[in-house]
Amino acid sequence: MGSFASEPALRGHGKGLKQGTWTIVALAIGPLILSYGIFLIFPMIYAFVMSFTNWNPVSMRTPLRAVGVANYSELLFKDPLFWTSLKNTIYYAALRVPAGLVISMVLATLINSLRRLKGFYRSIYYLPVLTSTVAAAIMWNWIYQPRFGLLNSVLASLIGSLGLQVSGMPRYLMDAKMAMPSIAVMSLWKGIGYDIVIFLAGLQGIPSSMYDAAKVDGATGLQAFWHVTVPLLRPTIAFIAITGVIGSLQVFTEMYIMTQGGPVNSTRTIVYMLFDQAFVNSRFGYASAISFVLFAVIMAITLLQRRVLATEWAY
Amino acid sequence: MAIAGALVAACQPKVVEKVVEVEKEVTRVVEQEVVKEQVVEKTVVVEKVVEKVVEKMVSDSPLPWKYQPLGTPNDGKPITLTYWDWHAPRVEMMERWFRQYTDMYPNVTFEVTTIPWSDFWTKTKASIPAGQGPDIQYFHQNNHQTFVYGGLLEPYPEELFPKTEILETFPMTAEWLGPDGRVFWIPTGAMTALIYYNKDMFEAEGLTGDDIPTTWDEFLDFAKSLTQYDAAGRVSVSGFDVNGAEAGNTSGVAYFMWKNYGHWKWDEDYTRPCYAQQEFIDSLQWVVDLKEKHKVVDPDFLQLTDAFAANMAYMIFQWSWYTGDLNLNNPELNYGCRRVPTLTGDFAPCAGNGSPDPQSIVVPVTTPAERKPVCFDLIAYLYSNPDFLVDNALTLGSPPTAPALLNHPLLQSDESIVAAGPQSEWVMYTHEQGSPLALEEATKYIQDGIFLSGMDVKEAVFKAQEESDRLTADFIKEVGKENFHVAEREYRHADQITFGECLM
Repeated sequence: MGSFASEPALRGHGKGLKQGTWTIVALAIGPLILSYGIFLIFPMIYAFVMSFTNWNPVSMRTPLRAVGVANYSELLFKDPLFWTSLKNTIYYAALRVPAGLVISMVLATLINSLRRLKGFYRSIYYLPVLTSTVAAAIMWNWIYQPRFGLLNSVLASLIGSLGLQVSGMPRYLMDAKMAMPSIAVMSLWKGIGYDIVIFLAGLQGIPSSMYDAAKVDGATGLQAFWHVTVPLLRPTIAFIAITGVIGSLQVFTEMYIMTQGGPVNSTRTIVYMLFDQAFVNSRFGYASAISFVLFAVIMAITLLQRRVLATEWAY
Repeated sequence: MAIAGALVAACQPKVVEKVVEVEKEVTRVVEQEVVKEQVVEKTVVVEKVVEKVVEKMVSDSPLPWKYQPLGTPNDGKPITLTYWDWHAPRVEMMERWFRQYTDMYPNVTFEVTTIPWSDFWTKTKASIPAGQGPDIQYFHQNNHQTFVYGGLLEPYPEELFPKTEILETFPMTAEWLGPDGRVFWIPTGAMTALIYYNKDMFEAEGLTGDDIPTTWDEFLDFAKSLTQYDAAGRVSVSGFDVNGAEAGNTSGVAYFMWKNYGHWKWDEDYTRPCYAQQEFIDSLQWVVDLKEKHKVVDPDFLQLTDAFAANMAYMIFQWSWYTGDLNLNNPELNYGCRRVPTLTGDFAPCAGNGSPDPQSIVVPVTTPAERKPVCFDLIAYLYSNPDFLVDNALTLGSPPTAPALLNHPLLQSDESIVAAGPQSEWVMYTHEQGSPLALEEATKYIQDGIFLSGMDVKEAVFKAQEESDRLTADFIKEVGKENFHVAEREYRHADQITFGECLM
């Protein structure tokens, strides 16, 4: 009887609690959803719609009109620059991501194995991440200056000290073949610290008992790295590879500052092309179409990567 | 009675309160009147000062167009105008003149923003249509097509800028009128390219600026004779550095020389620019030979401005805005200026192509209506003021376009203006930058292809032509032929220019 008497009160209490929870939830995520909607979702939908128009906000005399899929067909079938830019972008990603992954994993493992100065090395490698990309790009422009730049001066000294003749030093950013790898090297220097920090976090999550077991089984340091560290870092590797590819496919600032897409379009990337079309040529509709094609490319590559790098938990 | 007494007693304080309130109100009104009178007095004083300043400016001015203020800007209410510019020396000058305007009209103040050239146009193009642009901004003729024909600029009002007087004062304005023949901006300075030379280095060789030849052939020999090499045979001091990543230097020399041949770039009905002219190929080859055959500069040598500032180049080719830049950033550098050579030494039929920089402040169409009159009053005040125009010319190294100022003593003592003066008369302005993609792409093939990637000159020019044809056609189709404007046919010596043979 007593229990029957208390039931409505409990129900009411439960209902009240539910309402309160909803209010808290709404208050907590409402502003986020609102800002997300206003600053991300709405512009995305707007850009998608505008990608089917001749949108040119700069020309106030050109009326806005729908052009169907003309922007997409021009981009995919008529604009050779798009395929050059796409090829360059993929080339950059292919240079930057695997190299970044391997170097940062090795460096993180080395730093993790240190007994002292771990924080010092982590900070040293992380410092370039904190540097502005623009400042770093300008500095690297000078490092790469063929005649008076630091890199070639050091190279010339080294070659000279070996008693060899210097003929034709690399021209880095001025050479269509070397420009993209040169930018990728600069980008590695700039971004590797971030990957190292992520790998260090991943490494610290590997139980030491795994290494002890490997040691007991007679594994060498390299075998332990290959058979313990690498498999257990697979989620971290997947994360860095996926975010690295996404970031690389959106690369822009380095090219904008260092080469302006040259020489002869050899460093012109998709986002650079998008920027040019929107802000130089005022073809915002066409630029919107480029952004959605890039979105599709990134989506496809990311899905593929997720499939290939799908995590199989080993412990 | 008692009740009445109680009522009176109850009402009494209210009456007193009312009386006090009325007294306060009277005091307030009286004080306000006093303040008003003071304001009126001050306004009258300011207006009298302004009248005197303007009177003096007008009476002293040799310009046909005179400033006629519309009255106290913004009815004396405080107003802050936002101003955007990209060129540091000019910003410094403008701030000086803004302060002078504020001295005249204390209610008008300014908020100045400097945006680097590389971002300036992307920022303005994105901001103005969104209504987030400045009230006034600096303008460059490169964007004439986009801004004027795109409807982004407010035309200058006739009452402040009577067209007849404007054209009489600044004849070059006729070349830059917008749709319906309206004035959207005034080219107050005629910028051109110059040969900058290092006076100290010349002196050390026993030379002066007058020794710089005026024909390209002689100039080449002269530059060769000055160039110095290190033990490895590389250029250590360049006789004439043309290295540079941006247009206006390496290929800029060739564009400039190309005009000496006296051919139009665009076809008769302005549908196609022709880069594939033998004369352009020859001009580009001259620059290639300068580097590869004559070794006056190595492709790996420092860029021209870096080399010049480091005393590692005797001469460079640069636009005259560089004068202000040098004065601001390298005040210790002892430099001089001379005209750019031509094929024959004469300016006729054309001294060079135009990427000049006729200077002007403009008012974006999105500037709030109540602010526009103040903006235009400021522009009228500045551009009708000979002192401003002289200051402007000296800061930018550009001869003024107002003929009445050409003999100004201050300008006559400035070497860059003296050097630029006669040449400016023979410079052809081309502002088809409404099709920037076509030009950009064409320039990229020429600049990067030839000078960075060692492409054959003819091959690069043909490739550029191919790209230019495709993109120009698309662009004209998109904006409409009626909205596409090309200026080269406005060249003042048009009778001396012919159509060249297009090889493609």
